Amino acid sequence: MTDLPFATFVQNAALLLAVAVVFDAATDWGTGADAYRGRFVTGALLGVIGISIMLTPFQFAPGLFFDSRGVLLSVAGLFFGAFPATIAAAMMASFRIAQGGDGVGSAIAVIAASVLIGLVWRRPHVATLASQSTFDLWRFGLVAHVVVLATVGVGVALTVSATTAINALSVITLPVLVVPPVATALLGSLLVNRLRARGLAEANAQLQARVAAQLEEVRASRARIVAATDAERKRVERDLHDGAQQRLVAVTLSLRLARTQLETGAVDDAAATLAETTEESKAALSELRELARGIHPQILTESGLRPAIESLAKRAPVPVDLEVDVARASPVVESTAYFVVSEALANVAKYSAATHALVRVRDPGDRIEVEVVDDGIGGADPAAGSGLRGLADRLAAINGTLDVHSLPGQGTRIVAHIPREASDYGG
Amino acid sequence: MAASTVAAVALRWHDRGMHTVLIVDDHPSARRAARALLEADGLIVVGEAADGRSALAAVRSMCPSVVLVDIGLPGMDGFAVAAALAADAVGPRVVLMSSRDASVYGDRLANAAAAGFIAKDELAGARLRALLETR
Repeated sequence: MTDLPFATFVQNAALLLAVAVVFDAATDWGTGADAYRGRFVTGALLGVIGISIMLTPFQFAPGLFFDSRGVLLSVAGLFFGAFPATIAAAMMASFRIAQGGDGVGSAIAVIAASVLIGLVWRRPHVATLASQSTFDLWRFGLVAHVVVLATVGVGVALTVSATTAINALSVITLPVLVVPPVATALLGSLLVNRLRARGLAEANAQLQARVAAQLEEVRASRARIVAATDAERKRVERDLHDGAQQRLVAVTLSLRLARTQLETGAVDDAAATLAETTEESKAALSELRELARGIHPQILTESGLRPAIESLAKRAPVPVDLEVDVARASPVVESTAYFVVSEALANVAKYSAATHALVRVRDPGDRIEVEVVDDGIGGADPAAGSGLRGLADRLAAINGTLDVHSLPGQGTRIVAHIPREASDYGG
Repeated sequence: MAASTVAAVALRWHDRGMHTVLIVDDHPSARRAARALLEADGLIVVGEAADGRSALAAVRSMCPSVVLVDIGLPGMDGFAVAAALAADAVGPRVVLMSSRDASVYGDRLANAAAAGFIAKDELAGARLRALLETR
């Protein structure tokens, strides 16, 4: 084979290309318990390639052979890491020892030096391997082969003679510093491309997982919104039944009683009954008004956020300071802001044991920021109650955000950001 | 008036063939209006209760002949009160009422341990008497 230099060159190139195939296969072994077996097999495959390379040397000059084991082992050290590279090196060294003959020592020294330079280079670059440029890799190959040449020189000088070493180096230095670094750069670039593709695939998988998780969250939130709507309707029916409907039943019965009283001439009794009935029907009216306001606050549509929030604050059981400075916005944005304040103040009344609350509404232009702060007991958990989670779903549906800060003993602070442009989804 | 006295009075009215009524409703205004109306129509209302458990206790202490019970009570509803009272052979007769339409309850009304059903807004002494006499 030595009389066909081109053929050996092609063989070496092909064997180096096989490294890329091993590199791709190495991805599939993954991590965990199987990883060591995977690395062992990877190292063994690299060792087989290395031995094949050693069986296919170039002849620089009569009696002076060189092969691309330096390229293989330095690249193996750099891209595969200590475990596989060491196994490959050990197999190649064993093979070389088995071959016997002159120069076993310096050959093993070259093998060890090549792996070591790869591993040393790997240490600072392991995280950035995928971003190594072809020039970076060429420089790595150059340094590796300077080390290889030095090792060969010292090895030959020690085992044969200094003169032989100098003669050998004078012949091989130029070709070794020209061809193998380029081979290193080409093989390295191939592996870098593989790494980038692998990174891209991983990023893609992560992206897909994230999209799937988001989709799942959107589905869950949509289901919660539907459930909340049903629950709200049930509540309205219950409120109507327990409130106005009962009062109107009482009004009907009382009117019938008053008629009986009038028919029997008990005029004073009838007057008293009618007076009570009037009170009852007034109460029914006021309950209906309250209920209607809970369904949709007309003051919001007519007069905007500030008056609507003022009316909420007036009905709150604790003093509420207002800092509301906001221009009119679309109905969805305004009603979302209103219900954030309404729900937050309802929570203040129900759970917080607060003595004081603050409602701040700001309008930086592209969004409306609503903040409700109280000095109560804190410890509100958005995941626990349906109220805050319903608000969060409502905000998420229009690309807004809801943050709840409520450490025990430190009051509760609810901050909602409502984008103005998220306004045309309906309502 | 002590409960024993109420019971004694109720039993006396009962002996004379008068209906003595216990009204069970969780809405005070509806309860008040029903009481005034029934009394004006000549029935004897011996007591009121706001939920099922206190209704059962009131039946024991006041011995009414009729229990007029709202179906939509919190907790133990009107059907459950009727079933509990039906278990007692000498218990009072039960009339269910509701401000919801009868059709809401479907077969449950037909199968209930009750003498009948009256829509709350149609409550009247004559209506109640008629219901108790037809069964």
